[in-house]
Amino acid sequence: MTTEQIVTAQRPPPQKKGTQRKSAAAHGRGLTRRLPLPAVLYGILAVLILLPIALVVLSSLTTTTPRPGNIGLDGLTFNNFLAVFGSEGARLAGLNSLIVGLGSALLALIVGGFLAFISARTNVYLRRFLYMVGLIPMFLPSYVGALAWAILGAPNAGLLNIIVRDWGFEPFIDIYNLGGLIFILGIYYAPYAFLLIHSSFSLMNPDLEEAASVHGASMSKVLRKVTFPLATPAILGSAILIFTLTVENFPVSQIIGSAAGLDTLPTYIWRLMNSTPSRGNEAAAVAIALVITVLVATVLQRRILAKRDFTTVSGKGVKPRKVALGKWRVPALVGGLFYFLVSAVLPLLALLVVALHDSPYISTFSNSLEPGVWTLDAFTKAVTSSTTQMATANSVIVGIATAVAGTLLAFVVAYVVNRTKLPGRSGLEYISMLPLAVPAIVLGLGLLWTWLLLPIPIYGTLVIMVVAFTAAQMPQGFRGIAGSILQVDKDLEDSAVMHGASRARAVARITLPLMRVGITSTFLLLLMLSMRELTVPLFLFTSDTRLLSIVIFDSYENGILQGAAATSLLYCVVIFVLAALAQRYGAKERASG
Amino acid sequence: MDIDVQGLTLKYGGATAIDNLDLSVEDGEALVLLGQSGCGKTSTMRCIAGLETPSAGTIKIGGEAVFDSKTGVSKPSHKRNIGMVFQSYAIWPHLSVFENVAFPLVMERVKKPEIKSRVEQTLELVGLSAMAQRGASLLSGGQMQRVALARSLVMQPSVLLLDEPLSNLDARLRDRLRIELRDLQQRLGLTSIYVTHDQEEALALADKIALMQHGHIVQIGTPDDIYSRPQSASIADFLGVGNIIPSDIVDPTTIKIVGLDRDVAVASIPQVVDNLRACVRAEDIVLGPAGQQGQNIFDGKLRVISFQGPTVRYLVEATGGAQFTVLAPKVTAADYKLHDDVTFAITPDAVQALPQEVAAA
Repeated sequence: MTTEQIVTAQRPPPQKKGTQRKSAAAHGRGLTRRLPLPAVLYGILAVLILLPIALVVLSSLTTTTPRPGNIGLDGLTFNNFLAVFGSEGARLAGLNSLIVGLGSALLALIVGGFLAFISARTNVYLRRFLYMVGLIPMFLPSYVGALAWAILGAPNAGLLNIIVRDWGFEPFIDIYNLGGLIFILGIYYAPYAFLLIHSSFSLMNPDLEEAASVHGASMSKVLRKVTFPLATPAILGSAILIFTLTVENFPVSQIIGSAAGLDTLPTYIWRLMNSTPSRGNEAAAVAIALVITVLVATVLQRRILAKRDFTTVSGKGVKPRKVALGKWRVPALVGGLFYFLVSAVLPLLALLVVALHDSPYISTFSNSLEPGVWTLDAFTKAVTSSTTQMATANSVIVGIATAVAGTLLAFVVAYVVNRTKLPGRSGLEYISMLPLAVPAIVLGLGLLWTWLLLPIPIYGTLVIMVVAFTAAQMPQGFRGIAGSILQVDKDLEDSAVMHGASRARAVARITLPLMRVGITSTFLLLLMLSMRELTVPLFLFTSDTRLLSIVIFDSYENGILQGAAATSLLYCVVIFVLAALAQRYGAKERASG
Repeated sequence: MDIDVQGLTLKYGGATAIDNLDLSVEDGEALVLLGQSGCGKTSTMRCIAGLETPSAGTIKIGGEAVFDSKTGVSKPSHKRNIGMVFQSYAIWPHLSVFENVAFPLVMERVKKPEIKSRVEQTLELVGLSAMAQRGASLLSGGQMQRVALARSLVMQPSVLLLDEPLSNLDARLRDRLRIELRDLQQRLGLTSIYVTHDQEEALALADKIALMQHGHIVQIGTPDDIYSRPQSASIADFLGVGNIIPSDIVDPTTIKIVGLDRDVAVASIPQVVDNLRACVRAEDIVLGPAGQQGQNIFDGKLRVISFQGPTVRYLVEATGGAQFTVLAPKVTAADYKLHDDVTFAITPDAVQALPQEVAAA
């Protein structure tokens, strides 16, 4: 085509009359469309998240728990709070929760900080392996860890105690006490501290440290005066994050604490709900106390982490300076390996031993080499039992459905929040992030009452599990998708609209394909979280809708140790596969971003 | 097609980005919206594109309203047939060059063979024929710019919008593409609106420049108009006039520049003026040896000499303390040393006595 031809082609035929009218009508539709989308999203999030929380608050202040035809503000009272916190039990549970939260946060900080420092900033042996060591326990659900340690460290029948008795020593370990609880929570939440502190250490701009050396500071001075102060927000932030996660942790406290006669706030709620008759209003009051504790910590954490960017300004691809450890190279490695031993190797071994031993009650290993001691019978029985198979199917169905629903909802909400100017969009973000500040056991309680109350008969079906998990994981889903949307330049989508695509088509043709990696990894994250979640469904499951996590928990509670161990192993395999998938897609995302 | 904008207003929350702006662009004309960041120029362009919804006003393209706050007309962007080159180019990284350029035609449901021929012709026009099958994420900045241009041209738009089209390129490429862009726009006779903060780019690309400040158009005219006759000292400053010094009126042909020991004869003085400024381009001041005398010749001392290649930049401190920047050909460098006493001459028509600010044009 010559330029002249292009010039003539440049002028489209004059537009027909009537288009103006049509576009006016389209605009009218646009206006009516403007309101409903946020309204619909508010509606969904209100039912998913706000209503459960409101019902917990309501029942903490009334004398009856919410039921159809039995809800209202009459009987408004503070007696629940008085009754609960007048009682010795609740006060003790609160105190235990605080001790456990603080203790395990401190332990996790020491372990995670140590691993982060040696793997990010020193020449320790097996540096890359130690990085993996810091991450691996994250993929082991904390209750599987607790279960394994209950097998390892029970005062008499614990495997570690049996081994030393075989060698003629006295039993030396007892996991059933506050110290044991702190130990288990500490080692299984250490990866959170590890991740935050590691990224702070490795993103740190080396110029800041080099400037300190140039101006006369020795290596140890640089560490003390520059490196660690710069990592302070990450250190403090992770401590508070771990505090909130451990304070609200139910399963570990239940597994370890119930044998020791210890209550924390979450197990206290559980026991109030399970007493006959069920004491829901008091449970709600305890729940409010727990929410407030977590809320205070979350607010603190947000304040501290908000400053993080400012301290870890990084040049991309910079290599942080490495500290030569000298004579500490071996001890540092040994420290890292010890953590690996207690967090992963011993627990998995313990599960294997119990699952493969011929007798559910092991009293000695002296007969270990005799034929018939090791058998797949218990394992096969557990894995092939109809309960396990149904629970596996349920877990997979619920996991996939939640991942689909959660990713979809998160996408719509995150799109509205980040890409539109629709009214009320910032409120949607707050509600989406709210479940972070609501302990899982409280959310589970609220969801129970919500779905008993609403005239939609999904209680007792798998649908309620999907609904509950979607609510509980909204923050993770929203954060994953929103981060991914923000990485895709808005111009790319606007540009498609300018070149003739409607907004919906532009999203489908340009934005979604570009977010493929972020969407996939969010999907896998939600799938993994749903597969491992135990606390939220505790009040919601029925005999037909048991999940793998529930089966493990139930087996342990009912003393079926071999079944619990075998199912846990099966479960670990599933989770590791999912984690590996997520890791792969996550890694891809980093490489391309 | 011609564009007519009346009473355009855009508010974000409490802030006003565009304030009651009128603008018209004739068919085939290239208009440049020039101004500092935050002046409302990009917002104006995005309102025309339909990417922002104005709070009030009308926008007509080819006589047809695409936006009218009174009648409620608001054509969505994808039905306005406006091509747009984004500042970031917005080349879709998951598509090839061909697929990027073909996109508008696919959206129009043009038949495949026609898509192929039109895309190929357009790629040839921008000199990218050889790159059609390449992944778009592998392109250099200049190539992305051409793809973005091709993608807009292929849809045969009524209007082409270009947001800072050259700002992401290095200086030499920018010079070359500026010429190419001007050539293409003139050959195609395409109604175009550019947005830029770079006065040099504006002068080179425009048939007409609209200078924007604080959501208003403060001056509109041909490049020559704008360059030679800025309406205010702040516009002059933005256009790179090197010397802007507070002054007072003495009589209708004379002003007193603060820090200069003698009065200055000028060609013209505006009527009513507070905050009068004398504006003199650095290249309009002529440096001379000490001892020269005459109208508008002043004594001073050389404070800084900075070699700039074809020119030398001098900072001269006048006897009264005022400082002037002087740009002179490099041959003058041999004549002067730092701290020399010198004279400098300013012809009366080189001095523009202007108010600090003007209201909307």
